[in-house]
Amino acid sequence: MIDLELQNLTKTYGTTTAVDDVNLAVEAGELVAFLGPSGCGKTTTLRMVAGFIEPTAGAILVRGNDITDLKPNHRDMGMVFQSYALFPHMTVERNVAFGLVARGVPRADIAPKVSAALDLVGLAGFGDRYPKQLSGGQQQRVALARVLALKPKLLLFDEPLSNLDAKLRVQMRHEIRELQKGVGITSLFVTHDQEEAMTIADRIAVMNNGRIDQIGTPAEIYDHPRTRFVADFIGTSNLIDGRVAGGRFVSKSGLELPCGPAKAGDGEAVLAVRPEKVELADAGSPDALSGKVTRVTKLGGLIEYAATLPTGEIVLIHQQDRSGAKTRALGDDIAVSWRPEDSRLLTI
Amino acid sequence: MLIAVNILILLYLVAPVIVVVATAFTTTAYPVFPPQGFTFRWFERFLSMPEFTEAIRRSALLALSSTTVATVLGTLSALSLVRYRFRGREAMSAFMLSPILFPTIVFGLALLVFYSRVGLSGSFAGLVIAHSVLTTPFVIRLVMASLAEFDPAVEEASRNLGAGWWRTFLQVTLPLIRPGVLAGAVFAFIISFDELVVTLFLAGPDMTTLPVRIYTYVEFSSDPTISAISTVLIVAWMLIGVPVYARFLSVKH
Amino acid sequence: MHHGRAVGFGLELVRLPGRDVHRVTQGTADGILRRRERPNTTPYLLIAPNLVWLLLFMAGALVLLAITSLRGYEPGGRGILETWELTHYAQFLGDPFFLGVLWRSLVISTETTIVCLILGFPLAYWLSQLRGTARAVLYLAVLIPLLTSAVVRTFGWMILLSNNGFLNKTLINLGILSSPMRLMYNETGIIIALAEVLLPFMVLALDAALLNIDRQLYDAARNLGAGAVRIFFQVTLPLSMPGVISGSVLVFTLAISAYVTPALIGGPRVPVMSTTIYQQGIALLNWPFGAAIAFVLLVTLILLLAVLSYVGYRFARAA
Ligand SMILES: Nc1ncnc2c1ncn2[C@@H]1O[C@H](COP(=O)(O)OP(=O)(O)OP(=O)(O)O)[C@@H](O)[C@H]1O
Ligand SMILES: [Mg+2]
Repeated sequence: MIDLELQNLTKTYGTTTAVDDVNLAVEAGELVAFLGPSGCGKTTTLRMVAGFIEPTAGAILVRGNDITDLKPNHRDMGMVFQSYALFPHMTVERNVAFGLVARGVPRADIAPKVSAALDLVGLAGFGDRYPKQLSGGQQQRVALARVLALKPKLLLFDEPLSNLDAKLRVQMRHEIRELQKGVGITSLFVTHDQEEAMTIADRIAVMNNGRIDQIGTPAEIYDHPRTRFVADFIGTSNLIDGRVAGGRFVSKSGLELPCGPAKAGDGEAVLAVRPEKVELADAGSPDALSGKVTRVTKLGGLIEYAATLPTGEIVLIHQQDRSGAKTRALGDDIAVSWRPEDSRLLTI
Repeated sequence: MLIAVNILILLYLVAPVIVVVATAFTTTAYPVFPPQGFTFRWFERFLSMPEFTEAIRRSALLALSSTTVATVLGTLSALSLVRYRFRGREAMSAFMLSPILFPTIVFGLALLVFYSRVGLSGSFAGLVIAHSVLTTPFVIRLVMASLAEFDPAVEEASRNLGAGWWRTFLQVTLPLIRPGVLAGAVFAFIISFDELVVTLFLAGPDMTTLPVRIYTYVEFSSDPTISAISTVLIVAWMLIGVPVYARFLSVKH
Repeated sequence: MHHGRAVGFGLELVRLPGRDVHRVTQGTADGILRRRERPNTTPYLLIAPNLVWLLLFMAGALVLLAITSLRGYEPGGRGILETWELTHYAQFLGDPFFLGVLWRSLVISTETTIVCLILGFPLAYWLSQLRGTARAVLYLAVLIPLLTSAVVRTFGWMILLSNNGFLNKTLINLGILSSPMRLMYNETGIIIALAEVLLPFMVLALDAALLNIDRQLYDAARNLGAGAVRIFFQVTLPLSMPGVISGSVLVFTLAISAYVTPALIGGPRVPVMSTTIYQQGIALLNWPFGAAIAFVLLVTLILLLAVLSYVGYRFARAA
C-alpha cells in the first residue's frame, strides 16, 4: 500500500527552483532517505511534507488523501529536527506529553504513553530532567520519544544525527533503524551522508538540483547508477566522456573501451566503472589497456592507484591491501581492464 | 590617565543625580549643595501635598494602562517582524521603530491638534494612546532581541506535534520570550511614567501627571520637596530598572 | 479536471471531484497543476493592531498637522481659517528672529553632540575594555542617569549652575573665578546640562560598536608592530565609525527636539525651536504657526540625517 505520494512537487523562490517536479511514492512501513549535496532541496521537500513550506505546485497525498492545504498541526506527522527542537522550559516528561495534550488525549492515558515512549528510547527515569541537563544523544532520543508517543502516520527526519559525534552517530543510526522497523511507521530521512543513507534506508532518493535523479535500494543506486551525477556522488567512479556508435564506446580521445550494452541509442555518453571493478595487470597483458602508475594512495584497507593511459584518460583502481598481493610503484608500466558487464553507459 | 579622565566624566554624568538626592535631606529652605544638616522633612511634606500624591496615582495608572497596550501591540509586532518573511517587512520594521527617533515636541503638537478634532482633548484615553505610541518601539526592540535568541524549530516542533497557532504561542513562544516581554514592559512603564513633553501638550488641567507637576513646580519655585520626590523616583527606578537592564542588555558581555 | 471559473490573471478555481479541497490552479504549458500560493496572512494580522495605531495616531496626526500648517490664522478672532496659505512658512523664514532660533537650535545640538562624542568616547572605550563585574558596575553607572528622568536631572543642574550654586562657589573658592560666572539662562548652561542628559545614549552606541571590533585585529596589529596610538587611530577609531554615526544621529535628534532642559535652564531668554513650538502651540494657541515651525524642524532634521547617513554609507563602503 502506498502511504505517501508526492506528485509534481515544486517550490520556487523568485527565480531559483529549490524543488523541481518531484514525484515519489512511499510504501507503508518503508524508510526512504533523501540524499544529495548541500542546497539540492532535501530540507525544502521534507518541510513541504511537514506543512512548513507551501508548495508552488504539486500535491502531497497521505494514504490517498490530499493534504497539501492542511496546516502542519493537522497532518499527524512526527518530525525530528537537526537541532532537536526540544522545549527548553519543559521537563522531558512534559516534552513528550506535549503532543498528546495538544491532541486532547485523556489525562489518565498520557502518563503511561509517556513512560512507554521513554522506555522505547531507553530514557526511563529521565522524565524530570530539563533538556539542557541531557547530552546531545539523549536529547535526540527525547525528540524521538516525543514523536513516537503520538504514533503518527509519518516520521520525518531532517539530518537528525549531524549534531552528534561520529561514534554516536553510527550507533544512533542503527537505533533509529530498529525503532522505525519496530513501530512500522513510514519515514522520510534527509541526510547528506551517503553511508548513513546506505545503512538506514530501504530506498534512497538521490537529489540533484531540486530533482530526484534516481530512486532505488542502496544496492541498485550503487551498482546501477542511472545518471552521471549519481555515479559520481555515490562512492567513487571512473567517468569517461565519449560517444556510443554501433554499440561500441569510443572516448573523446578516440580510445575504444569495453562497455556493457548501450540502453540508449547512439550519441554522447559517459562510461562509468567503479575503481574496485578495474583489474590491474602487468604491462603487455592481452585485452588490456596499457598505462602508467601516476599516483599511489593508501586508503585504510585499500590501495588506490591512478593509472594514466597514453591517450590522457586517468583510471582509478582500488585494490585490497592484502599481504602477498602484488603492489605497484609510481611510474610502473601496467595494464588495466574491466569486464564489460561491470561498466555502465550513462546519459550525460 | 585614561582612568582619571574617565572618573571625571563619570562624575559629570552622575553629578545631577547626586545633587538631587543630597539636597533632599538639607535643612535649608531651598536646595543647596552640599546639603546642610539632615532631615526627612521634605519627604513628609511631599507626602502631605495631595497635588503630588494625586499626580503619582494618576501617573501610575497612566503608565500601567499604556504599558499594557504597548506590550500587547509590541509583542505581536515583534513576532511578525522576526518570525515571518513578508513583503515590506523592512519598511514596516523601520516605521514601527520610528517613534523612538521622532521629535516628541512635534508629536505632542500633532496630537494636540488631532485630539481637538476627534474629541480626545484633555482625556485620559488620549494620554494612554500617546504614551503607548511612544513606548511600543521599546517593547518591539526587546521582544525582537529575545525572539532572535531562540531556535524557531522549537515553534515548528510544537506545530508538528499537533498544537495550533495559539497553543504554540501561549505554551511555547510566550514562556520563551518572557524575559524580553517583561523587560519591554518595565522600560515602557518607566518611560511612560517619566514622559513630560507630549503630556504637557495633552494633559488638561485635571490630568496632571507627576512629571508635569514637578516641571511646573520647578519652573516657578525651588524647594527641596522636589528633591525628595525625585529621590523617591530615582530609587524606585533603580530598584525596578537595574535588574532588568542588567539581565537583558549586554552588561557583562 | 480543468473546468472551472476564471478569476482573472489566468487563474482558475477548480473544485476537484471527490475531494473536499479547494484548489486554485493555473494551467501551464507542461500540464502541471500550478497552485496559487496563499499569501500567509498571519504576519499582517499580527502587525495590524500596531499599524492601525501608528497610522492613526502618528501618521494621521502628522498629516493633520501638515494641513494645519497651511491654514490661515487670525489671532483673537476667528482663529484657524479654512484658507490654504504659506504665510506661516514665509513668516518663519522671513523673520531674522525665528531664523536665529533655528540657528541657535542647530548650534546647541551640534555642540551638544560634539561634547557627547568627546566625553563619550573615553568612557565607552574603557567600558568596552572591561570584562565581568567591573564592566557591569561601570555599565550601571552609565545607565542610572538614563533611568532618571530629564526633568529631575535638569533640576539637579539648576541647583549646580545657579549664580551662587556649587559650581560657581567651588570655582571661586579655588581662585579660578573672582566673581560668579553666569551659567543659567544661557546657551552654555543648556549645553552643559543637555550633554549630560544625552551622554548615556552616546556611550551605549559607541560601546556597541567597540565591542563589535574583533579583538584578534588588535593582536594582529600589535603583531605587525603597531604601537598603542597607531592602533587607536588606525584600527579602533575607523572601526568604531558606525557607533560614532549612530550615536551622533541619536544624540543630535534628541538634542534638537529636547524641550525640558532648554526650557528650564535657558528659559524664555534663550528660545530654541522646541520651546518656540511649545509657546506657539500652548501659550499663544497659534497652531498653524506652531505646526509650520514643527515642519521646519522636521525638514531640517531629515535633511541633516540624510547627509549624515550618506556620509556614513560612504564611510562604511570605504572601510
Ligand atoms: N526561504 C528561501 N528563500 C530563497 N531560497 C531558498 C529558501 N530556502 C531554501 N532556498 C534555496 O533552495 C535550495 C534548497 O534548499 P534546501 O534547504 O532544501 O537544501 P538542502 O538540500 O536541505 O541543503 P543542506 O544539505 O545544505 O541542508 C537552496 O539553493 C536554497 O538556497
Ligand atoms: Mg537541509
